Amino acid sequence: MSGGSRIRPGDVKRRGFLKLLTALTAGAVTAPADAEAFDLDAFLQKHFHQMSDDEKRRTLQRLEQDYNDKYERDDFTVVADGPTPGVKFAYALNLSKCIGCRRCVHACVQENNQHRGREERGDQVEYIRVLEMEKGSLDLEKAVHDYDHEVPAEDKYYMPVQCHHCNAAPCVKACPVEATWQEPDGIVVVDYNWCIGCRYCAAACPYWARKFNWIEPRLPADEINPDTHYLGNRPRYKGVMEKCTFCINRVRKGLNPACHDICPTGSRKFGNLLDKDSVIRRIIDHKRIYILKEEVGTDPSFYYFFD
Amino acid sequence: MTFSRFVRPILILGTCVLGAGAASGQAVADRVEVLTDIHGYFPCMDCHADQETNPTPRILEEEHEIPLEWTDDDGVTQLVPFGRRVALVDLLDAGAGDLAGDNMQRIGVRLSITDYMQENDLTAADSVWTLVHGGGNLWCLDCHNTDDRDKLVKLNGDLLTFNQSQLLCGECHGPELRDWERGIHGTTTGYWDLARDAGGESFRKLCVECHTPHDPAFPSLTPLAGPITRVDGPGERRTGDTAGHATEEEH
Repeated sequence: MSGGSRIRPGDVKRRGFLKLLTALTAGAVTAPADAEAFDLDAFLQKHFHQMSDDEKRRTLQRLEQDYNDKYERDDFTVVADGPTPGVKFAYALNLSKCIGCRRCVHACVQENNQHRGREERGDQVEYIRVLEMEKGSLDLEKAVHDYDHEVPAEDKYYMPVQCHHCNAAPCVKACPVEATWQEPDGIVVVDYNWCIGCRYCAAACPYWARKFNWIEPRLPADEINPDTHYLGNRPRYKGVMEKCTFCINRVRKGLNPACHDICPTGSRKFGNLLDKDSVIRRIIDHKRIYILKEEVGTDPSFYYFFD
Repeated sequence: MTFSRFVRPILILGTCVLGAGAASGQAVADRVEVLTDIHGYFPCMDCHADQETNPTPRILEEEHEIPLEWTDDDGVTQLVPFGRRVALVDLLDAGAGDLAGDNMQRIGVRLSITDYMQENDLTAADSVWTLVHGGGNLWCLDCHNTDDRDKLVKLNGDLLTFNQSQLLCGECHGPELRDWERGIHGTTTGYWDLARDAGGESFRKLCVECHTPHDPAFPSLTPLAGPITRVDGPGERRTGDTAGHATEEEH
């Protein structure tokens, strides 16, 4: 959002009087203390679905410039790779193998440029919560998520929970401005420039998968992953919602998500549900599958399995 | 019909070729390449070549001095690649620290066990030599070949090199081998989409890269930091086994 006002005399003729009037009105109403914080192009940016290809290209360029300026780098890339026809992503997690080491949690934080913080209303944003469960029980109310001992503990098993990328996603239905939607390849995404921060989606999600930026995200420049996606891991703003995107910047290039590759036990499996030879299809065909909170009818793309 | 009569044998033949690839330890079915940290050198025959073998199962004393180093063809001193258990745990921690690298492939970073041991002054003395595997029902020559200690031996007498060890594991752990071949069991990294023009490779670890063959249970680990709870106030991390068991008063 940095970069300052882009209004220049030459622009007035080109971009039109109404645009300038809108900007001036907005500026007068909001009266930002820091004039540099207001960006006319960002203010007038359309919904992602309404942007033409040219508008998308210019938006991505502007964002790259903004991020490079903000974090004093020169290697930011913001892409908007689209879904591949014939691909529907799904994820499977082996509850018999996960040992609860939380390496997935931290790989996710680093890959997705999440906020690092340890303060009031500003805790580190983590998309994955690893639940320590009693063996023989699926009672989530007795789950512990802040355990701090050697794992795996005796008589415990571990259930990492993250966005289930539901095919009947209640978060998508709850959003009043259509800032979140499910892509054709199954990934539920958020347009951070369109989100108004009402948090209805977080209230609607039965998996506690949505995370809100209560404060301006703190992202150390030397820990940034500069390979970003518009709908994924690009730096977020204060007051917007974010969530797991299956590492959309990776999976749309054919790579596995970060949490998948870091898992030391191989508990995490990812693939194309429409490919009958994919590992995900083999698991669904041959293993015992458990769908978390199946009774709420969210039809998730995330499966747990046992072996 | 005619088509099937000709195509089916070709498919079967192709499957056999892929199977042969798996046996060579270089590639398995599913177009997945197996990477291994197992280097080409094994020290057993350095001593055992001239020794008579006592095939009687017995509890082994520490009868031999384990060579800790060897010199490769280039004259470089190398550590014997043992100590897998201690190295595995530390490798995982090192891998987590390396995530702050500067490219998207960093998640899949893999370190050589021997490199890691050299960097951290670990020796074979740090390794696990106790044969826990089998609970007392196995002993060395059930897996290691009597006459050529640089080879493994299957129940039917077929010899295997160390980078074909998954076939030996599968003799007892058939379902695990079946799942491993299908990508369900074990660690795979790289691309989910193997058809990509650029890259499109996937890497799968061998059994012994996660399971020490002499003590195969996956080691316990110290978890990375958990989420911050409100119980102790903002910014405070709870410690101890009681974490998460907040009382009604605390709520």
